[in-house]
Amino acid sequence: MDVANVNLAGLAPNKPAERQKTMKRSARKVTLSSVIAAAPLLILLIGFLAVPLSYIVWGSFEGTKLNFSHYARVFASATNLNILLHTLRVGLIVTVVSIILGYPVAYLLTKVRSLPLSVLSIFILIPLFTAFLIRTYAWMIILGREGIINNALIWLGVITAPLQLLNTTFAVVVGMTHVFVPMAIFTMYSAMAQIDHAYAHAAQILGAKPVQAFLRVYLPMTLPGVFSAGILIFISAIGFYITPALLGGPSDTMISQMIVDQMTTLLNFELGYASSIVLLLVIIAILFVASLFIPLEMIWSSASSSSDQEPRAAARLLKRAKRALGPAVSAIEGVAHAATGQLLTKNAGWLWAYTVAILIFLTAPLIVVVILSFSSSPFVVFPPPGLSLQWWRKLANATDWHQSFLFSIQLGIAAAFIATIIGTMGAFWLVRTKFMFKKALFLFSLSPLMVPVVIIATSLYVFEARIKMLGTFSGLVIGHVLLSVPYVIVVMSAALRNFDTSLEPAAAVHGARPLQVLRLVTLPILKPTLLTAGLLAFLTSFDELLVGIFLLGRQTPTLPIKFWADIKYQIDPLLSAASTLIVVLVTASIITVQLIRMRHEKRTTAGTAD
Amino acid sequence: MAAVLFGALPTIVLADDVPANLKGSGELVITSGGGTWEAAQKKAFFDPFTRDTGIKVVLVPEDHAKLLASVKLGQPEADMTSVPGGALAGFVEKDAVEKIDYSLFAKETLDEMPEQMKNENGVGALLYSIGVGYNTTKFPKGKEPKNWVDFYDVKKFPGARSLPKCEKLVDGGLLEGALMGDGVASDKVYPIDMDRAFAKVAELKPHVGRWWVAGADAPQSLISGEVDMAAAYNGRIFGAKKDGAPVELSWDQSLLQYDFWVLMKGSPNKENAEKFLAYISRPEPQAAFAEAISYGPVNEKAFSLVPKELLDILPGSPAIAKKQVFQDYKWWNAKNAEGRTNWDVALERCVVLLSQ
Amino acid sequence: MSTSLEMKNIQKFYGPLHVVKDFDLHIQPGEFVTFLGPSGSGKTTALKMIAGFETPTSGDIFLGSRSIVDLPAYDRGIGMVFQNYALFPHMTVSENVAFPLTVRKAARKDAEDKVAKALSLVKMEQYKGRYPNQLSGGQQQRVALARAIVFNPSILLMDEPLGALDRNLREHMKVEIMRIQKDLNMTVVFVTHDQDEALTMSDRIAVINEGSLVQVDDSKSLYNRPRSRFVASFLGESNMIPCRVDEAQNGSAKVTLAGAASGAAQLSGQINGDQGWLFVRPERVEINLSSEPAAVTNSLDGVVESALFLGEMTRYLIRCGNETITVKRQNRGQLHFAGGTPVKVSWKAEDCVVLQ
Repeated sequence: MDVANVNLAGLAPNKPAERQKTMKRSARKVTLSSVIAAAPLLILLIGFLAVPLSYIVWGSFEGTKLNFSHYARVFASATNLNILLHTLRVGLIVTVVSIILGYPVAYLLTKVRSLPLSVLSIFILIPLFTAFLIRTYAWMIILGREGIINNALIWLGVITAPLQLLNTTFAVVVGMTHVFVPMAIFTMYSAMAQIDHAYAHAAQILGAKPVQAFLRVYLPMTLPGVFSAGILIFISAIGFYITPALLGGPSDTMISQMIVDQMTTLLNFELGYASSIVLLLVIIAILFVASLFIPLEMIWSSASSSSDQEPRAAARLLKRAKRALGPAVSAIEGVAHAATGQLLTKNAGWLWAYTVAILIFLTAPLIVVVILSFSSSPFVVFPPPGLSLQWWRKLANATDWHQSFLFSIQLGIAAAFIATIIGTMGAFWLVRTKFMFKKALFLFSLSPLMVPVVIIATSLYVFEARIKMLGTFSGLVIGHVLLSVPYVIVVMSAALRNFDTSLEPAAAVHGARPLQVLRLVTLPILKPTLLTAGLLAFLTSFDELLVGIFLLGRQTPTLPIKFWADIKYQIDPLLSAASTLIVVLVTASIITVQLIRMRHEKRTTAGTAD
Repeated sequence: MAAVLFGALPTIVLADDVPANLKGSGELVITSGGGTWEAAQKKAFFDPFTRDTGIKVVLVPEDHAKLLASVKLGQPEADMTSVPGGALAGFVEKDAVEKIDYSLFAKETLDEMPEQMKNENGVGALLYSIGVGYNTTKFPKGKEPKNWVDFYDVKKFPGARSLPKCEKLVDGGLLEGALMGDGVASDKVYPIDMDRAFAKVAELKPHVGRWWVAGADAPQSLISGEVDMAAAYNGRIFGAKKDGAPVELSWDQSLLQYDFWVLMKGSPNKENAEKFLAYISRPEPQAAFAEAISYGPVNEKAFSLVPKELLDILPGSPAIAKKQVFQDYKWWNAKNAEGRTNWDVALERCVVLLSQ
Repeated sequence: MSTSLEMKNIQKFYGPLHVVKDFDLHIQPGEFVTFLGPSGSGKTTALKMIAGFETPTSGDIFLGSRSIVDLPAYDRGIGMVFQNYALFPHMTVSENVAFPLTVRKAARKDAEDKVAKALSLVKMEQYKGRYPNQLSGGQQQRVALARAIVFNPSILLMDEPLGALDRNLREHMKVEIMRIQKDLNMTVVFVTHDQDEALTMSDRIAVINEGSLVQVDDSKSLYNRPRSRFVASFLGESNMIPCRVDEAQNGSAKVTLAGAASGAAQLSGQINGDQGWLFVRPERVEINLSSEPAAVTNSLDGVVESALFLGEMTRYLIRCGNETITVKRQNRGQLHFAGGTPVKVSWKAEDCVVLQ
């Protein structure tokens, strides 16, 4: 209830003064509790994102010196612009490929029952948590000159000389697509899950061929979800750098790589800052263009329905273009129907086959990693010359790995705990209270996902050093909280939007005080979602490299840093063993949470949705 | 037998032998790169130093950008670090390092160290080399490439090559190798003729199957068959060879490179750091380190303390040094009229070349 | 333990929107009052203000002699059944029912007794260990009812509680709710848009339209003597025939029907010359063949337009000039009038009222 309403109500005749007081008091109470809910999130975002970023901006023109030559250099060199363009091009290709590959799988997920859904999602999730460095090396093994694919093709007699697959833009696209297909599937799935298949059936009853029903009814309804996934992937993709550096050819330098090089090799911080700001501006520009088509907050939570909104200007434009292209579309439909009629009518079979193929693509690097961990060779060669448990024995005795493992778990738990609390409070604030600029604030709360991690890491570093927090455990935890809070907010606000709105009044009217309502009703019902959010936050921290590198003090290195440091000096199957172990543990935790959710949901389907 | 004896001897002798002026208290924070590298340093330097002097060594992960930023903010996160020879000038220019006080060094230690190792801003840390590495299955004995000329000769030695990517162009000796490959004599490499060097790299470019960014990449590509020949670090190649990999490195025309230990500006443990440098620069710790990881010692006397067979694989050892070229870090850091270093200019040209 | 409820001059604004206007209502202890109105009429807002989920812009609400308008919902001691039951999905049936006692920190033994009693009252004892989603809609409804009455609330609010049930179950629950209300002598405010529910269950019905109380009366008066066209048409089926008051006398008058025929009707405050609508329920209208003489005061000639056989009755539409009169006749074996038959419809003066 906002103050504006109360004032307008003043127009009412015969209004006793005390009523106004009561309403103001209750309005104040609401304001106070929303301030409490919002404060931790806002302190985190302003104190540890906005302020540090302003340091970077300030530094990029050397503060009061107003030296803009670094920007001039970024733009003056054709090479820098080429790198930027190449980054955008690769980002676009990866986005399109990931979406096309992921779409049918997401579609299948909307059609299966809950058990196969759980199994499929676990399979899709697992590859995400294979340490990305080792995953990249696995791709090198698969795509290499004497790698699995080339050897197989030669053996089959398809080719006589090995193809150059590795060290090409192709390899970069494969490696990055592998990272983004799961993201594409889940983002599109959450949008598609809200679309009733009855629409397509209705279209068919009304005489549409399956292709037409799909193209004219189902596909257009999924487009917002597809577009969201696209923006999300594109923004993350152009911030990538390790994978392109290791899999790509000589010209596959991405802009993040350039930033890191400037700052770590050439020690030219100001140029690095300026490049960071340029990258940030590019991302802001992309988001701006995207906002012309769909409400931005939809990108991160497809649950926020927007059907009742005015179509955006650009979307209207598109519609007009589509109408103009109508005849062409019909022609294409005709052809598509002739070609795919068979497939679409009995679609379950080929969809499953396709999905299995995608799952093989997703798990292939993981399989290579698992096999490698049992290698008898001291080198990363595939197939291994023999089997042995030597690397597992070595891992069992490697106390430094054990320490890193324990430290990463501690860090992950601390970060997940705090992020879940802050994010949940923030989600309550964002979903439950009414205020101006709510959408803008929702976007702001997700901004750690939009700013490239390199920039977050460096800005936090400079800032934490200023406030003497650098190198402390809490400093590191804050960095990880910052990165994981957006995931908590996305998950929790989706759950809160679907929360049965009568449960809390029901508790209140039967005598529960606000804190009792929270403790006895709201939180217990949200438990599975809280668990999911916590798990996401934990995994984000557990798999995080860059911020860790910058903010780690005199502590044990985290697991990803351990991987990174070791891989810089030597590559051996010990890393595969460690990686396999981590995947097993991560899988176990995902399955546990899934089981808890399933049990909970079996009982409580009435009250909660995802 | 002698090897075993020599290997064990230094640590036994050291305990009583350490000069009184190196003893102390408190701690010393050093960056570390992890892995076998850290293990070797621990064994040869850190543990004996703590045991003999009472000064505790604390390790933090190595990240120079971060370290420099912390120095700039007046609270260095480590007291000392080691930097590639080529990077020293950058550190000095950023006013990030303290001058070294050599007064704690024993006179004989100073005498045993080559001049390049006793920079006023840094003490030599170790010697290493980048040279022509190759797969011995592809190039068996008698047919092996010997130097950069062979490396750049794709007619006589067909097969895929691996070269350092632009960001590693100094560490990986990209231009020096190219010039020697084009027939420039090893003593005429500097000043580098960039046009000529880049032209040579451009010529080989179609045959480069992998542009590496991490040191471990080169041996890995050789082992996996991705390439047949690579510009590679000696330590990586010999490490892999010791484990049984079919790889070899040719010393001929290899670049001799070195790292410096530097003291960070504003370090609260400057004295402990100088004690550490004086301690580890002595022949015994240097020999122990060389033995542990196959990098060359900065103290020439150390060569007489390591097992004989090691002499064939240690960069800078008397027999090998003759075939090697000292990398000229001074030239790399020299500035042109616009105030940009040769390194900066080369990097940009390299990126242009590779992105074509 | 039943209490009276009084709403005094309640107003509610949402911004410029006046959603509840001049609510004045006194509900007796033990009385069953229904808020009946179309959706959006403000009946739910009124209920929410009683429950404490909304604050009236002005006015006061008394429970007994105590003003509750400034109390938060949890301090009002009200029981409530929600439209979708709002059972806590993570609690068992008995935990749900015990909830009001749990949050009031009632003694365990006492609470157990009360829960058992409440569950037996709604005949759900055997389901106490189940979770809500393992119950049917009707069972959930009973549990919600048990939860709302378990702590002897001073008043019970029910917000469209039967809306989600199928027809048979709804009939059954109506009776159950009435039984329990009588057993406990509980004051009940029941919100619905379903006139059947309102007519069957309530002691009094408060008809609400566009935020205002239109008429508050018991079922029979409301049905037979509506005071406005809205009430007449919202509650049950009705015929509205335009008419003019000719000779008003003691609350009844001679009138002119549909501009032609003469008749007589009750008045609701009109005077001579007023134009109005004559209201008569379809079941009060008789049909005879045109040839038979009219037995009562009001009659119109017409033709049967359609006859719908509905089992227990037949529903006729009779066209009389410009008007269509609906007539319902119990099927007791009388003569059936087929479409096209010329007929005469007639009704008694005391069965019809002139409305504005």
